[in-house]
Amino acid sequence: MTRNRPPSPQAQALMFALAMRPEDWRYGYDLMKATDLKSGTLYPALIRLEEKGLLESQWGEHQQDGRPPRHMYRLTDAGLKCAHELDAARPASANTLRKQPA
Amino acid sequence: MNRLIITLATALLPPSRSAWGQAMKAEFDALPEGRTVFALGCLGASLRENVTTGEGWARMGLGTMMVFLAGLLVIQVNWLGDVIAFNKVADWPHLFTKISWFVAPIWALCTTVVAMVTISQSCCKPIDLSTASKLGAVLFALVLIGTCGERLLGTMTSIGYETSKFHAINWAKMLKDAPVIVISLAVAAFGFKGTKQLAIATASACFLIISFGIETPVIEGVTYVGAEVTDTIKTVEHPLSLNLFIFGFLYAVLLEVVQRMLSQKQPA
Repeated sequence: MTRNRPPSPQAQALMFALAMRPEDWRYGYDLMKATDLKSGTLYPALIRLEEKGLLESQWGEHQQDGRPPRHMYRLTDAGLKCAHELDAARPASANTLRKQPA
Repeated sequence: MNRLIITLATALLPPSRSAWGQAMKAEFDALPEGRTVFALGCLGASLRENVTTGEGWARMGLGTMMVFLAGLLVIQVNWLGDVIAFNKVADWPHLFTKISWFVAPIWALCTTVVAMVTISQSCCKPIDLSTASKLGAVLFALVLIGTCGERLLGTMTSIGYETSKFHAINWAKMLKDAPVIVISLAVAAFGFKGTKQLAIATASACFLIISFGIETPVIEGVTYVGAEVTDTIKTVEHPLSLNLFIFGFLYAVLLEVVQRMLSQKQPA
């Protein structure tokens, strides 16, 4: 029996934030600010989304001040589709993705 | 302090999540503010990953087994030191005492080797549940052999030493102990065969022990390991603990269930 539960509210918030700029690779800190999620919620949600194939990640460039490269995230095509479906299922007043300018 | 917390958080993550640990660390280095909250959040997430994944449970189960084994190792080493200090091997010419004195270091050596294999398998790289099951079953079997085997040798020694100053035969107690020892060693043998066999054997052992009304020597030993480690050896009692049986059973069942759930999740 395979369970196919919808993403948690936190994961949904994360998906909506990522879907706002679907082409951009986003940092963890950036996502924390965009969603008001703490690191303790953000990373498990990112892990789950990646496991479901809704998120892709990659390492960024080495930074000039010698700090290690950062991990960056964006939605996959499946993730973007899922985000739009979830957004469409919400009450019209709560839609975030449909309010975006084309 | 913050760096210590984030390092701990990355270290505690299951090995299959190590890339996420690196991601947390890199993000921590780049944070302009709120580093303590971030590090604590990562630590919480890391701990949670250990209880929400099969791999995490497998590591915790193995860790608990390792604590049992470490306690037994301390007891063995303590006992060996005691024997050497008082030259008891020479004083006790009985064969079984000598055998037990030679068996104990072999058991301790085997245990150490298995413990090292377990650590290398479970801490340094992602552990698959099948390996965790096998290692857990072997660790559990070693615990049973360490406790019951020693008790068996002690019992045999005391029969041979009916008139010695060290032991006096308590036949009533032995009649109660003997089945417990036999059952425990049988469970240990099943432990080497695998988790499923271990689960069935431990459940059967609990049923047998309770239905025969011989649970007293088992229950007496609930705090055996802890008491022995802290108080040094001051008793010839070597009772087993029922909680060890129950723990072994639950551990085996849990791994089987998780394994089945994960195998069902695999795409066809």
